[in-house]
Amino acid sequence: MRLKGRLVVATLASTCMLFAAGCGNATGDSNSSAGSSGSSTNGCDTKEIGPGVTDSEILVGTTMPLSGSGAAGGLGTKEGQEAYYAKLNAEGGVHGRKIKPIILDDAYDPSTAQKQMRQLVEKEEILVVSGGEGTPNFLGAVPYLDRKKVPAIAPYAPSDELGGDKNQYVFMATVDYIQEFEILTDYVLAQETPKKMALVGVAGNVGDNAKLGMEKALEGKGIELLYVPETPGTTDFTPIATQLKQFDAEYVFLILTNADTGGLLQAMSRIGYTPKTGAWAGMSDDSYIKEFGALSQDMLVALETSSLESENPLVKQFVADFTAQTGKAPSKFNQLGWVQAQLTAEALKRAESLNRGCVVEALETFENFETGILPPVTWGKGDRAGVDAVGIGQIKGDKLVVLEETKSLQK
Amino acid sequence: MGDLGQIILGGITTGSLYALFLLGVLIVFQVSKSMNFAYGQVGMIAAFSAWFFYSEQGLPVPVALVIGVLLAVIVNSAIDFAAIRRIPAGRPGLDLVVTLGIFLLITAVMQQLIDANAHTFISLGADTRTEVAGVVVSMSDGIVIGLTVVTVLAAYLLLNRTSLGTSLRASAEDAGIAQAAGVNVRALRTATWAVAGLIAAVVAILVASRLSVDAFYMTPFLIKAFIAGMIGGLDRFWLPLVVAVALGVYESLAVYLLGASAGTPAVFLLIIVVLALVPKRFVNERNEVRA
Repeated sequence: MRLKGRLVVATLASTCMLFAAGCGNATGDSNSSAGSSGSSTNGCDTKEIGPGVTDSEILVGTTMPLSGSGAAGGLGTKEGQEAYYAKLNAEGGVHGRKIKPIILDDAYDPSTAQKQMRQLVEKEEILVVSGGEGTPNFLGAVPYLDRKKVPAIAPYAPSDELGGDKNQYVFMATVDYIQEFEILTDYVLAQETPKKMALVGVAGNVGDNAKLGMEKALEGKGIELLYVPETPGTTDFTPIATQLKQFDAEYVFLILTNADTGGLLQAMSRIGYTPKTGAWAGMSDDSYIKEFGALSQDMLVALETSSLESENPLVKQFVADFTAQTGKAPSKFNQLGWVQAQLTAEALKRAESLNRGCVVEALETFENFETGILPPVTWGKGDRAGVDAVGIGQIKGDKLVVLEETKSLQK
Repeated sequence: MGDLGQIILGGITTGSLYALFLLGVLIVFQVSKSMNFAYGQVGMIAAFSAWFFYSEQGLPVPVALVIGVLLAVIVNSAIDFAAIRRIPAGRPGLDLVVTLGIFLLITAVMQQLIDANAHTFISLGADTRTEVAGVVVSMSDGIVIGLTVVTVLAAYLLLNRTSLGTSLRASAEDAGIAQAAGVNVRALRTATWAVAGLIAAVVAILVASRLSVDAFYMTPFLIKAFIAGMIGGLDRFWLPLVVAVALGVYESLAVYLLGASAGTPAVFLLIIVVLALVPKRFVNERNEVRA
């Protein structure tokens, strides 16, 4: 009985402590919000200097997967950002200040991303979020950024959750997967009319968005669509390959990790099923084509970034600058990192004062801003989408052939 | 029937890979009573370094494979020699913590030394196939299943029909008495870890030839092998291996019938059902807790 009594007391005490901790957190949050975030994000106060800004330095930061199965994209993006900032700092920086990027590892995990973003905003006191890489992880940090009113500039996290009215502090610079797969499907339908198409996508928001995009393009066309969600780390792709073969789709679209795309294509080949294929923009990366190009011949690929072999002078300049900084040719993820830093730096240059409110206002002045790497970027009041186009490419041999430089849903 | 046969063949092949991998876990556990969370990464070292040597350094494939396998054997032996056998007696669970640390260390080192990308591996017969009663059978399937059967039988015969096997079982039962009887327990233990390293290397190479290779690709196989070991009992021989093959088939059928997202939940549901329904005397309590 005494034990039971003690348990009740202990439980009540624990509950009280939890409530107290919760209140404490809430108070802490609101205090830090007033302190570090500043109040000017609802407008540009030209007299205010934001967090992370000193006479010599501007701190920016983000989180990416630098370890784990998604590390390849994160490491490439980080390298691209660092190369751009190194070049910019060597040229004098922005408003006489060097830009210092702090890029933390989120291991592609939403809760880690949120924790790391909290570290960046509250401990490191960054001014803005410069880019980012990976959809589920970045989405994990978005509610926090929104609450703290910290602008996030050009993260690579294609999702219908971002780019619209919902999260006003996230400025996207790539299309979401709904648009990407709608454009890709439109491209196929402009060439031929298959009777059946299939999609294998990472289960959750990513695959669902790609499916929605295909459904939009196929609406009223009488073309059957099979959607197979997949979980990363699958050890046997035979069931998925068999399902696809049974459905007998002429086109199979894929939105999976490099490793899983390769694994599925191998399994399809093992059972003698070789349909035409199409895939998300990640497959346009050199690292994919080099490793899995033989399995992916004639695969259609969405191009979020320009071809590195483009004749566009801005692209040539980027390739030359990146190579000069790093001593090697850039990859797709290097391109993404570079352009994220480029857009962040441009926003800081345009800001009337270096605080978050003025950066938001500066971002809203972007109109058809040419990076050479992305389609022209436009943001405005209530418009956070940035771009509405992708290019279309095709894997031929060990090369990516550009079929269309830019294909927009507006056209 | 053709589709179902295809799924079952795929499941048996994947289950064979789980079983062969589990064999390495079993012999280590039965001899040294230790669990090695870094076991998958030991295999990864073999395949990833082999890929690096033939693809990036231009070595002939057989030479690269031999180097990879040797590295795995050395690393697994070193894990026991440098870490596991130095854990003081009466510290249950410390082997898990230590090998988890080694898991992270190996992953980080291989990422730094090679890269974080996924790479295609030599196909080992994946492109050669024939059709039997509507089921496409590749040479890779045959190699995996055949090698698993031969290796498991050889391990069984070695453990049960040779004096070496008797010494191993005696060391596992009571190392002190075995030592007093003239068995070189330390050497046997190192040899066991080396053989387990060899098995991990072979499995990792087979898996890489069917999927791809990167710094993480063996982790799902390690988890499935541990699950089969937990259900079948790490102190037994045949039952956990049969469970491993059955787990592969069960998982494939779950994915085919319920969708790819159902694969992992179905496996964990199986564990819950087994632990809830199977009598405790059947599921070894010690293994249950450790797993």
